[in-house]
Amino acid sequence: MAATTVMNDRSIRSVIRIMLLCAVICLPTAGYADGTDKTSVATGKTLRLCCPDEQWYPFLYNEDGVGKGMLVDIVKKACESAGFRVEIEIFPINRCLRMAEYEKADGIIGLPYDKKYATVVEYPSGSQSAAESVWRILQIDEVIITYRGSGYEYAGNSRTLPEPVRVLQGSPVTSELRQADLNVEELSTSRQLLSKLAHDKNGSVVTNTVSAEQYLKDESFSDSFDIDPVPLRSSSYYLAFSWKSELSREERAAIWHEVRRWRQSYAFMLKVFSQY
Amino acid sequence: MKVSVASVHFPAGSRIRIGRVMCKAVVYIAALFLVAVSFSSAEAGEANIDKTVARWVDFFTPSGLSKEDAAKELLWFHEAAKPFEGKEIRVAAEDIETHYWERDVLAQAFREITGIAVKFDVIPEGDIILNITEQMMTGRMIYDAYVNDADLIGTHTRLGKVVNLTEYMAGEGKPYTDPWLDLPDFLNLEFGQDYDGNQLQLPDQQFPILYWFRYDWFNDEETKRDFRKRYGYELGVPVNWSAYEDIAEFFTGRTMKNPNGSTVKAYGHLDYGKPSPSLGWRFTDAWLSVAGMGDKGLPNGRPVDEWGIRVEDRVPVGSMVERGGQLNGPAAVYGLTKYIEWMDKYAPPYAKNIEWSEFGPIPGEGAIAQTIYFCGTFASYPGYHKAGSPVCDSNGNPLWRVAPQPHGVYWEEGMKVGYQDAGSWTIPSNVRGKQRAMAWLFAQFCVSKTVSVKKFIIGGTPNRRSTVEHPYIMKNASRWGGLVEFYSSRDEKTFTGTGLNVPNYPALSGLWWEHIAAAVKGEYTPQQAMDTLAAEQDELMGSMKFTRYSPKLNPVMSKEYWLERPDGPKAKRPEREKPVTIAYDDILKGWGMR
Repeated sequence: MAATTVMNDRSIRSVIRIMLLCAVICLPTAGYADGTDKTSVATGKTLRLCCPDEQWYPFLYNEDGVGKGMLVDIVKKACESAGFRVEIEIFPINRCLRMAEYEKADGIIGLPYDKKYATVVEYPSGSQSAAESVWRILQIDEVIITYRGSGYEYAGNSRTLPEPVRVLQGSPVTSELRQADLNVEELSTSRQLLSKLAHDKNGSVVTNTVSAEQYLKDESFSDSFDIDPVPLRSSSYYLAFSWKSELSREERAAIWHEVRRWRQSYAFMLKVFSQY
Repeated sequence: MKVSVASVHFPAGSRIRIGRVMCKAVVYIAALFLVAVSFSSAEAGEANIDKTVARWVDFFTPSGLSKEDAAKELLWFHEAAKPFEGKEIRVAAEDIETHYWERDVLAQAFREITGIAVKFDVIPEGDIILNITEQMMTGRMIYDAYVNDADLIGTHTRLGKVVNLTEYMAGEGKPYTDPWLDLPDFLNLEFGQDYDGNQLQLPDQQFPILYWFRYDWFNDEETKRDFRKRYGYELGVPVNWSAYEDIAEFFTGRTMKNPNGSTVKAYGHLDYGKPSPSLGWRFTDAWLSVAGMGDKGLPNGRPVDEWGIRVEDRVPVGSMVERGGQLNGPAAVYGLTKYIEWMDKYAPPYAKNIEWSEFGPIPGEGAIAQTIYFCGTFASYPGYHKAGSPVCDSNGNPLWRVAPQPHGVYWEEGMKVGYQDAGSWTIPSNVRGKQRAMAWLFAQFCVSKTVSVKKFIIGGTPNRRSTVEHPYIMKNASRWGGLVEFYSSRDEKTFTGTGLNVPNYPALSGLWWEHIAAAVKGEYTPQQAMDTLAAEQDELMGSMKFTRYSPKLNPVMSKEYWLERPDGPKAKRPEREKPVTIAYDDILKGWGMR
């Protein structure tokens, strides 16, 4: 009888915990976020976050050894308003993953969902299947660039992409393209991708739209390329936490909630956008 | 992120808005159903295109073109769009009547005539700004085109992330440019132009901010007599804020009768104060220059405009008085102080808890004598032109009128008289190739001479001079309570938009409502609110990086330094001046009417 009572109490506590967690995750944020700093979890802990060393302006980039960009701005704001201090280090993505694996980093900023990464870091719930997750930091499109005059038009079937398809090393789109039996060529910088396309005058490049626009304005490539108006894909980019971080489930949920709240803040987001 | 009209959490007044939208939707659907029943085989197929066009020409009558020319224009759209038949575009516009009609009627007509499907989202203006900004800054493909207020022209000029329509029409877009487009016929085409006259945005619908009042109450003999006895001058359209205050005081609590037989305790003023993006544009839509902040000059004050921003050689150099701006100067503080004071004294108690979209229909409910803020788009609400409404006669003719807003004590001749803006078709530069061509075709369809008169009849927001001067509109001008007279007048040109000075409208406008809301709630004094707003506006402008005309802030000097300069802010003035009113019919004469 006593044992049953204990079990019931435990069950009730579990249910309450789950309900609290759900409440944190599901707090309604309809309409415009008010842009005020509301501390959800005022722990005062310091979070160690790793920022992938990408030249991926304006989303993520390395400025004199400091990780910057829209993704960083939103994550910093969210963590701080959740009551955490933030230390951000910038390293290549593989090192970020190792740091997460060996408890040197609590999380990684700006990861798209990737099954391989998901063994090391935890994504917000539903990330695996969400086309546009409510927990994303930002949604970013990738487009196809072809040599001008190729006449290629993307109509929704990635198997038709002109080969070779050039992508940045480590790009999450690579595995998807290889699964489509495409000849994928990985290069280390965006400039190399475009130079190769300009030199070979065949195939295609897959990159994010902002990079594509920048290269279109680059005089050395002037009038060489076409950007297809239809994006190849659109992905949510996340703050993912190391499975081994000491952060509790409630703390993770609270930070993701803050990411969502700040992304929905009219004034804050417009301010972020105005800086780039 | 998008907030649909139905899902917005409205407090008081929400049912009115949603009910109205549903009513309109039913009317549109019924109209479309009748058209569809008559022409059920009206696909875009060649065999039926003449019949389809003829049907829509009839539907769009009265039109700015003869039936013959309208048919030619619609057939041109059919021919130009042939390469795109079966394709789809996505567009977005704010939640006003004009855009519901474009979504429900014009998109349907366009599909039947061209074979291009249009997914048309009608969303709150705040979401329009967020979406277009996200699309420009992250390159994300959200919409192929937006109806985006020309308030953003300074932003588009500096960012260079929207299609330069002048270049497009002359080059790649030439085969898709309507031969009947007739750009000189557009009202205030310059609202969408950069410093060099390039068209970055094409006006779709225009709306001024005006003064609204009960013409019937103002002409009631007993009311006029009582007012004269109490204040010593004639009740009429207020020319200055002192007269507005007197009239507001006079009507507040006074028992008045409506033509539908209802009796009300009237309010002498209405405004809105709920924290939301729309509270920002209550002020950025030139309220502070109506108070008298800023300098003389059209379209915007020089060197200081209605945002309090000092601009030198197209470069913003500061908003704080300490940098030569005026955003925290005496005139701006006076503007905010009066806004709060009048809402406290003369407006209904719910005023502080409503936002723009809820405010619109309320004067039409019969308890408001006047409001200093009336957006032209509000006139399309049924209450303003329906028989049986408290503000209309038994035939639905309005017993209200609009006139220029009265000015505050700092206002001087030579400054902009008022504000108007144009929701304008804007195509982000990452919309390319066929998508761009289709977006451009649809944009032109929505502003075409064939449809513009009908669109004005529905939404009350013109885009062409030929519309407001159309014989049908002139003959029925009284239905719009003075709007047609306003657009036909020379004074219309003294009502101007935000202009090119504001370097990043989305980011800067986001600052305004939070500070104003803090003052409305009493957390800040008006001076504190404007001090922090000006400081933050400068901080944000200082951090902006553009390839051209990027802000470059002046050094901070003492307030006295700038106040003593002849081109500095206006020093504090007594806030009460001799009240002045004018008979409404004299305003019309001044506008060249009657």
